Order: sequence, then structure tokens, then C-alpha cells
Amino acid sequence: MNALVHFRDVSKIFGNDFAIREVNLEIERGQITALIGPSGCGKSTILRLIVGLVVAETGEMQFDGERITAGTIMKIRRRLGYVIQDGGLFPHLTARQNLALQPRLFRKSRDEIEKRIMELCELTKFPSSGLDRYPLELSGGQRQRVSLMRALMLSPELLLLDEPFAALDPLVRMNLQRDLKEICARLQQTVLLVTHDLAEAAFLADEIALMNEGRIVQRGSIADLRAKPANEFVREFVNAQRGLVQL
Amino acid sequence: MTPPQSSSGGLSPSRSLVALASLLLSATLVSADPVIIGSKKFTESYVLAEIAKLSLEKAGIKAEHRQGMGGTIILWEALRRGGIDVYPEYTGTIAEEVLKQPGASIAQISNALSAQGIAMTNDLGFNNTYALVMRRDRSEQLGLKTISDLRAHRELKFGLTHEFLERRDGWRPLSERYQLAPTEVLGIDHALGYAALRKGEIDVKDAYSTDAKIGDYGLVTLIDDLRFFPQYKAVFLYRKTLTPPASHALNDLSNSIDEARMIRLNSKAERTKNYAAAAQQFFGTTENTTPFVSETFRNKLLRWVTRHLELAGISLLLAIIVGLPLGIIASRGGSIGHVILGITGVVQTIPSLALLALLVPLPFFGISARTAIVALFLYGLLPIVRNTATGLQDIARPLRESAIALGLTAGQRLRKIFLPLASRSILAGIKTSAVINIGTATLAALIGAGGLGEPIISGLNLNDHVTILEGAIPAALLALLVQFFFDLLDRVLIPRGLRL
Repeated sequence: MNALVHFRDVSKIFGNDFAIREVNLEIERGQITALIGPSGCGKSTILRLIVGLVVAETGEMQFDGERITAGTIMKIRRRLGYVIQDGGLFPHLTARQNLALQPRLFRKSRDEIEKRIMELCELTKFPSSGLDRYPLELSGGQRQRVSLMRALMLSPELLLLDEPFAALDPLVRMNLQRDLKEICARLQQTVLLVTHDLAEAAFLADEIALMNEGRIVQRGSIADLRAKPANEFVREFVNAQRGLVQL
Repeated sequence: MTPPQSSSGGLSPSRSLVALASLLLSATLVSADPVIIGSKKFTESYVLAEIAKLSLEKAGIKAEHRQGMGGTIILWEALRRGGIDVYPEYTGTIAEEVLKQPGASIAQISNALSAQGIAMTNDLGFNNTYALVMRRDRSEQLGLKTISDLRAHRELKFGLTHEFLERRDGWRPLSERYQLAPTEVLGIDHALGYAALRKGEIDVKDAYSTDAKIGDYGLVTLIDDLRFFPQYKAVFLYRKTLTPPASHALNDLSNSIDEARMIRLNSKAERTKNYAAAAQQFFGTTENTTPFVSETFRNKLLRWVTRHLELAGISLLLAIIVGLPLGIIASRGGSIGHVILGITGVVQTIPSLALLALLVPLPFFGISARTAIVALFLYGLLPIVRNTATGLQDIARPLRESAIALGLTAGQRLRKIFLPLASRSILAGIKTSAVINIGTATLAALIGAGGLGEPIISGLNLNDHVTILEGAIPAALLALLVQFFFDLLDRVLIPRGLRL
């Protein structure tokens, strides 16, 4: 039981539909796991369940051996970093204030916070001259770098990334993907990445979990998915994402 | 009629609010303990109140005149509850309206008043009864001399004051007694009615027999041939708790003013726009007095504006203190949110004048700045509550969820994230409230709370546009200034990141 996160038979219902259905999942430490699948397959719901933004109807979830419940979630959130598609930076705060918000509430000293910000600027290649800008004064790519920094401020054990690059143009996205891979390798960061882009998953992740209609249909490397598709859906999904080479 | 005591503790927020309001009021508005004189909303009442004030001051007693507080019932309730100590009244009105004992004798009236802790002076020397008046040319053209003559002319337009329309000795019994059934009867303000009569927009109007305008406009009084109207001898009503020197000073005025003199004083007051000067003239002709120094316009304006800002400012402050938390609760939706938005919305639909009238008879309120402030506070609530609620609801879901995911507690999220993000909308609500309050505060003068409504209402009574503008223009400028001030405040209070 060395995995950081465990899902056992977890179901979540929205209205009359299952968002996820009896999902069993382990997220191994030090790895990048990608959740991939078409829109509405329930991949974001898994992240939202871990952060406690939604509550599961049935099943059990554990983080580092501790059950995720209303009673434990506040403590667990401190150990998570969460990045969403458009960053979720607070527009009324500068980049620096956005970064300092969480550590300040957890009573980190000013010096400690400033030191960590500088470390992360270097790590994420964010120019420190941009720290006093407001989110609206930053480019989309810069915003995502600040979001990533904000998520990493307290050195979380698990980094949750929900389509973090989906809104960016291809060049910026490619740079960020490359940098993210490097950062995660340096930090030996455990990551759960949600994406609908198979190429992104293949580039970044150690393991891919392909989802459809609320269930995980296949887990493995990109090579496994391609060579031994578990069913017709997997084969179609893999084939649908053709590379430029094929054109 | 004792004020109902609330039996449960369930009202404690509103109680503490009330306590806060009275604290603020006592700090700003209440000074020593002068005799408070009230007056009704017409010239003669103002003049008589000024005469009472001067008489008291001559006896070395501090006195204060709250001008034009409204109609009979408001003044009577204020007197009974101690909001005022003295006001001029007419015996007919006391019998008909206050005691509901039509035709009671002076002795009967005195006894009945005494039972309620109120005393009455002897009559001041004139009878100011109701009368129906017409333009001289119109009455001569139709050959009308008596009220009975009106019966044959159903086409004549009647413009009657609202009070006369409703009184037990007013229009309804009068029209029954005389069998009058005119095709058109309008309710119209007293002073505006005179203007309408002069222009021929109405033909017949109710008046007081000592009205200065009867002489000024050359009107004729129709003879009350069936002797319908009761005697309206002017008296002062005062609380029995008044000190003996004070009640002496009032009783000294008995039998000192006859009809002709009252008409002259009324006329002087209306011509000079100065009630105090008319009162001064009264004493000037009876004994030697210090020369009257009229308050300069600048001082008056300063007094009006200061009080106006007090009324609007304190009520706005209360509306913010109460409205912000209510808005936060309402933003969470659900049935409580609906109830909050519903109630504050309903308050807004009550006409402001009606809201004042509803508050005045309640215990604790009465004729006071306090009542005006509470009414303004209630009016100011809705924009603040609604804008706070929608401002918070409009925050995008990703931001909301980011705040949660960062591990912030509900309180931290509200303070650090949600309120700043909603600040533009909240401030807009506060600005709306402030501007509404500046406008609505002009009505406070109707219940003697002062402010820029004072000249507006005197001007309406005197049918004097200049006086109206003395209040209306500063009030409009004040509203613009407040708007400007809040625009500046936006720049300070709305975070810079939201203004990019």
C-alpha cells in the first residue's frame, strides 16, 4: 500500500447520471499519471473529488493512508497543489500576492515566502520582474507559470493539473510542457494530470489511464494502449489523435 | 394604549440596531432640554408656534420650534408621547378629530384631555373655522353666496385638501348635510390648491377663515348657511408636565389675537417668508422687544445641509452595517436568501411618505430625526443587500474553487477573495443608497427632522418657488457631490487589479 492516493469503488452522480462509476485507482508516488478521455468522461471529477470540491456518493478515497472526509479535507488540501485551465489566479492580487496568499495563511514568515518565490521563479523560468503585475497584465503562458508556482509554494505531495495548457497556443504550450516535465523530474513530484490530448499525456506521463463514460477502461504506457487496446473504444481514441507525420 | 413589549429575544439584532441608532442620535442631535413646540403644515400654525416660542423665551425658558410636522394625528400623537410639549390646535379639531366627541363643550374637552395628561389654554381670541372659498368673479358670475347655492352647480370643480377630505367634520358629512354631489372632487395640497384656484383649474376650495390668501387673492367665503362647521377657536395644547412658568407664558396669550390680527400676521408671514418676524410683530405691537435678527441665508443653509448630511449619513452607515451581512447571507441563495431579498424589496415599494407615516405612531419612533433615519435606513438597505448578493454570486466558479482548493477557510475566502472581487458591485450599491438617501431625506422635514426639506416644505406651504429652490438646488448639488465622492472612493477601494 505504497500508493499516495487510493480510490475504491468510488461513484459520483450528477443529476441522474454517473460522473464516475465504481472507479478503482492508485496513484503511485514520484510518478506522473495522466487521466485521459473524451469530454464528460469523468476525468476532472476525479481531481475535484480529491480536492473536496465535490463529495462522492459511494466508495472510499484515501490520501497517504488517511480517508478523505469532510473532517480531514482541510488538512489534506494543504498537501495538494491544484492548477486549472485558466489558472484561477485572483485578479485583484498581484502575482506575488497570489503566491503569498496560502503560505501567509499558514503562518510562513515573510522571508521564507520570498525565498520560496525566488526559487520557484527560477524553477519555472518566470521573470521576477513580473511578480508585481496583476494577472490581467500577464500573458496566458505567464499566468500558467504563476499558477504552477502557486500550487508548488508549500511543496505539495501531490500536484493536480486539470487541463493546465488547454487554453494556450501551441508554441507556448510546447514550452510549458517541456518545462513542466523538467520541473517534475527535478522535484520528483507526484502528479495527476487531466488532459484530452494524447500527445501531451504520452510526452509527460509515466502512466496513462484512459477513461470513458465514468470508468477507467485501460491503464498502461502509450505503447501498451497502442499495441494492445483493451477494446474498440481505446483503439478509436488512440487512432483519432493522429500526428502530423500521418498527414 | 401601552406600547407592546416584545416578549422574545428573537429580535435582538434589530434591538441592538435600534440601540446603536439611538446612541448615534443622542451623540449628535440631542442637546439640553428646551420646550419643544410643534406646528402643523400651514402658515398660521407656524406663526402661532413662533408666538409661543417667543412668549416662552421672554419668560426665560428655552424653546425650540419643530416646523410643519404634518397633520393633526401626527402632532397629537407626538404630544401625547412627549415628542413635543406644545402645539397650537383648534377646539373643533380637538372635539372631532382627537377626542371623537363632536359637539363637546370646552369643559368636556378639557376634562377628556386632562385624563390623557394634556392641558389646554383658554382660546387665543379668534375662530379659524373651515370655510369654502371661490374666486370673486366666478361666484358673482354664477350668483353664489352660500354653500347651499353650490347644490345647483354640479359642474363646479372642487379641490380639497387631503385632511379635509378625510375629516369627520370635513367633506363627507358636509356634502351629506348640504346634499352636494359635484362631478369632480380632487385631493390637492393646501398651497397648491390656492394656485389652482387662482388659475381657474378648480372652482371651490376648502380654506381656513383666517387664511391670508383670502384677502391677498380677493376670494369670497361662502356662507355656512346650515351652520355645519363647528367652532374652531385657537388654543395651545400642552403637556401637564410643563413647568408652571412655562404654562403661564402660554396662558398669557389667551384672548390676545382677534381674527383681523391673525389674518394680518398670516399675511405678514407669507409676504416676508418669515414666521418668526410675524411673531415678533405680534409682540412688537404689544410691548417693547429686542429687534428681531433674522438668520442669514448662509447660516440657514449650513444648518440645513449639516442636518441633511447627518440624516443621510447615519442612515447610510446603518444600512451598510446591516446590509452587507444580509447580502452575504442572501448570496448563498436558498429560502433565507429569498426571504431577505423579498423583504428588503417590499420595503422599497412602500412610498417614502407612507413609510414615515407608518413609523411615527410606533413606540420609540414618533416625530423625530430618529424616525427619519430609520426610514432612510430601510430604504437604503435594498441596493446594498442586492448588489452585495449579486456581486458575490457573479464570482466565476474557477476563482471560487481555487480559493477552496488553496485550503482557505470560509471566513478567509470571504475576506481575502470574495469581498474584494465583489467590491465594485458592493460599492455601486452603497452609492445608489447614498444618492437615494440624499433625495429622500428631504421628506424628513415633514416630521420635523429638519434638513434641506425644511425650505422645500415651507416653500410649498407658501407657494413660493424661490424658497422651494433654496432647498431643492442644494439637495440636487449634494446628490451630485455624493456621487462624485463615491466615484473617487471607487478608485481607492476597488483593487487596482480589477480596474485594468
